[in-house]
Formats: sequence, structure tokens, C-alpha cells
Amino acid sequence: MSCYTDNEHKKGINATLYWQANPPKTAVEFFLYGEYCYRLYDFREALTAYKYAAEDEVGALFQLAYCVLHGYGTPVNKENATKYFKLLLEKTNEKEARHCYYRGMCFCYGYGTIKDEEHAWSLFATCSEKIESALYEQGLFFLEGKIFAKDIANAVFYLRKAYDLGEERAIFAMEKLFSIYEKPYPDHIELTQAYAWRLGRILRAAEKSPCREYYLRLSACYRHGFPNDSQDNKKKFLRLADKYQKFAETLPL
Amino acid sequence: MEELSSIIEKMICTEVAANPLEYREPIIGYADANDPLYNTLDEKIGAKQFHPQEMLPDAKTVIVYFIPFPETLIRAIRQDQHTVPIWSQYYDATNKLLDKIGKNIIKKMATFNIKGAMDPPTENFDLISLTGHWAHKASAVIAGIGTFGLNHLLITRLGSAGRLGSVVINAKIPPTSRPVSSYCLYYKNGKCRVCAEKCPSGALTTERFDRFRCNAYLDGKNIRDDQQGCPLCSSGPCADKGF
Repeated sequence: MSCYTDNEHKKGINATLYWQANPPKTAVEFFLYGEYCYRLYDFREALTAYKYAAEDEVGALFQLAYCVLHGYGTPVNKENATKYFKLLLEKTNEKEARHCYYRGMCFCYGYGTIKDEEHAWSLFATCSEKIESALYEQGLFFLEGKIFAKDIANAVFYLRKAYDLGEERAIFAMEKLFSIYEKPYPDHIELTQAYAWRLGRILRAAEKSPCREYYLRLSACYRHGFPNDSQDNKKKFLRLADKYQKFAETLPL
Repeated sequence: MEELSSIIEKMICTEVAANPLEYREPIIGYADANDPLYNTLDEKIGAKQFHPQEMLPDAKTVIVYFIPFPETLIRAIRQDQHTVPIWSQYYDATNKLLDKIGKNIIKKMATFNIKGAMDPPTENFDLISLTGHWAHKASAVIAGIGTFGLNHLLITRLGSAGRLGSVVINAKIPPTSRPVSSYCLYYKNGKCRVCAEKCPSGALTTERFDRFRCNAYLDGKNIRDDQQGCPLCSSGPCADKGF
């Protein structure tokens, strides 16, 4: 079905037109603008926005820490990331849904604190009605066997809900889940669309703001390829992966 | 009275020449509304297509007009960029021009007591199956103005980079004869696969065209710029001429 990417495209276009007419001014606006850029794989622009907002907006602080930890838009710096996560834990509570999600992430992965997966689960459960990323994390508990036994049905239950609410990572987690159980993903069209949708954004980000990180990401995207693709496409994509990797190496970090 | 075909061709050429954007000369053709090929389209396309008789009861002719884009645009889409603003600009503007031409033809035909009907040039497809219900390209092939290429586009003697419109009328105009061989180099001798090689998403291959993959890729690529489409499958050797 085409509806997911068409709907996301409409939302994205509306956001593009909005931000063109209304550049961000407040911390909340910089955070939301950062989220818009993040979804378009323009991590450098997102990071700049998160930095502006981090002092006053916990979402921006979380995203800043996450980007610095994973090297999105900036070189990896685990020390700084830990500092940001610790600050985040001081600034958040366990009453608001968004705060529960951010704290859940910290306890789930040991960001700035000792890992406590049971506590993370209860935090995600508190906020997942409102936050699709929390549903996604709940799905991962059953995919990876965290505090619960691995369970395909429960994993699919949470991941499917997360994807239908707009959490893109959920479909790739479901793909991984089905491949672990050596079953084909039930909707090949949907999966192919998810790959194509992601490729489109990664390619545009690289073309719009050429830098080594973006072209290496594009190269990796082509090298990974699409699931069950034709031999011709596999060969072509490997050629493109090499081409973009070589090009990336000529660009500044 | 001047022949109907001359009146129609004069109208289309005048409208195109008067447009602020530059185009090459339009190609116009006519299909018999009862051509047996129309009965095969549902199966060939894999989705229900309107027959000309369903667009207009007592339809006799389908007028098809192809407006080829200028060389400047073709040069632009042959650069190594995936987003080409002039392509999107021409896509939007030409759709408006096609719509205007179609409506003007219908209005003019009404002055001769001839009825007409048309489907819009875009935004006329089902969002779930991504198929349209009026096959402009197939009508163009039936009307003899081009053949299908490996790129799943219409290739005319002036190439594939352009836009198509069509109008169904209930007056008889002799059908245009169809070309004897394909304008597509791949179908001629298997040597050209530029369109498939250029397709960034892998939606177009020599075996098939995956419209869901193409659509999803475009959805992602075009968010940032509010752009339409992707010019790459129109940018090969057949962009500005048929072979």
C-alpha cells in the first residue's frame, strides 16, 4: 500500500512550507524544527537546532545527547553524550509522557545512568499511548528478549502499532524479526516502500548539503540494498555504493 | 469548412506558442474511439480503464497531443542531479497548459455541435493502487504518435521528455497511422538500458517497473523542496528523439 509514504510526504511538505514561512524563534520551535530536519536525515541542521533549544527544552537535550552518542551530524563523543544524558535525568520527571519516554531510554540503554530494563519497561508502558517511539521500544523488548522471553506475536503487536502511528524504525525491526524466524516479511510492497522512502530522504540530504557523513550514509544505504532485489539492481546498487563512498572520501568531515 | 483536424492542430499550436514557457513543436494524433486495442487495456495495464465510449457515449475519435519539453530542460535533466527545479516547474505549468488546451478544444467543438470529454492530465489516479483510469499514454500509442519505451513512458519522434493530454469527441477524424517499429532503442536492438541504469531507486529495471517503489522514493526525495517527480527516466538518449 502506498498510503504511509504518501501521508508522511504530505506532512513533510506541509512542514517544509511552514518552516520556510516561519523560521524558528523559541526553544520549542527550534526543537520542532530540529525534529523536522532529523526526519529528513539532515542531522547537521537538526543538531544546530537542538543545540539552540537544549537549555530550555528537554526533547532537544535528549536528541542532542542521542546525536552526539551516535555521531549523527557530529563526530561521536561519548563523554559529552553522557554529560547531556545526566543533565536530562536531572531535568525530567516521571509524570509527563515525554519525560517518561526520555527517562525510559536512559534506563533501557544505560544512558547517563545504570541500566534498569524493568524500570524502563514501566516508563514506556506509562507513555506509549501517546508516544509511538515508546511502543517501538516495547516491541524491541520482545524482539531482543529483554526481561521477557523473545516473542514474535508480542513484538509484532507493538511494532505494528508503532509503525502505524508513524514510527519508521518499526518496520525495519519487524523485518529483522521475521528474518530471525526465517519467515518472509508478510507485505513485500510495504517493506520495499519503506526502503525507497528512506533512500529518497537520504539521497536528498546528501545532495542538498554535501558532506562526508551524508554521502557515507547514502553509500551504506546502497550497499545494504533492498530486500529480495533483482540481480541487476544488486549489482547496480553496489556500483553506486562504491561511487558514493569514493566521493564521500573527497569531502570534508 | 476547414477540416476539423486543421482547426484542432492550429488551436493546440497557437496555445503552445503563446505560452510564456518555451516548448518544442507539439505532436498531435487521432485514434479511432472504437479501436479494438482499447478493449485490451484493462488486462495490459492490470486495472480497469475507461473505454472512450465510457468517457463519452457515441465517441468517435480520441485526440491526443504531446507537448515536448525544450532542449534547455533536457540538458538540465542530463546533469548528475536528482532534483532539477526546472523539471518540476515545467511539470506543473504544462499540466495547466494541457488542461487549458483540452477545455478549449471541447469549447470549440461545441460551436460545431460536437460533444467532447476529457480526463485531467494528472491527479487522476487511485492512491492505493497508483493506477489511473484513463490511459493517456496508451491512447497516444493507439493514436500513432509514439511507442512505449523501456522507461514505461511514451517515446515520440521528438523523444519522451514532455507531457500528454487527450480529448474524446463524437466526430470522426481519420486515425493517424502507427509507426512500424518501436522508437525505443532497447526494444529495437537491446543495446540501450540508460533509463534503467539511471533509476536511483531501482524501481525501473529491464524486467519491470515497480510503481510503489518509485512513488515511495519520490515521496522521500521531494519533501524538502516541494518538487514534482524525478526526471531521470526521461533523461536518456530518447529524451529529445525517438530512434
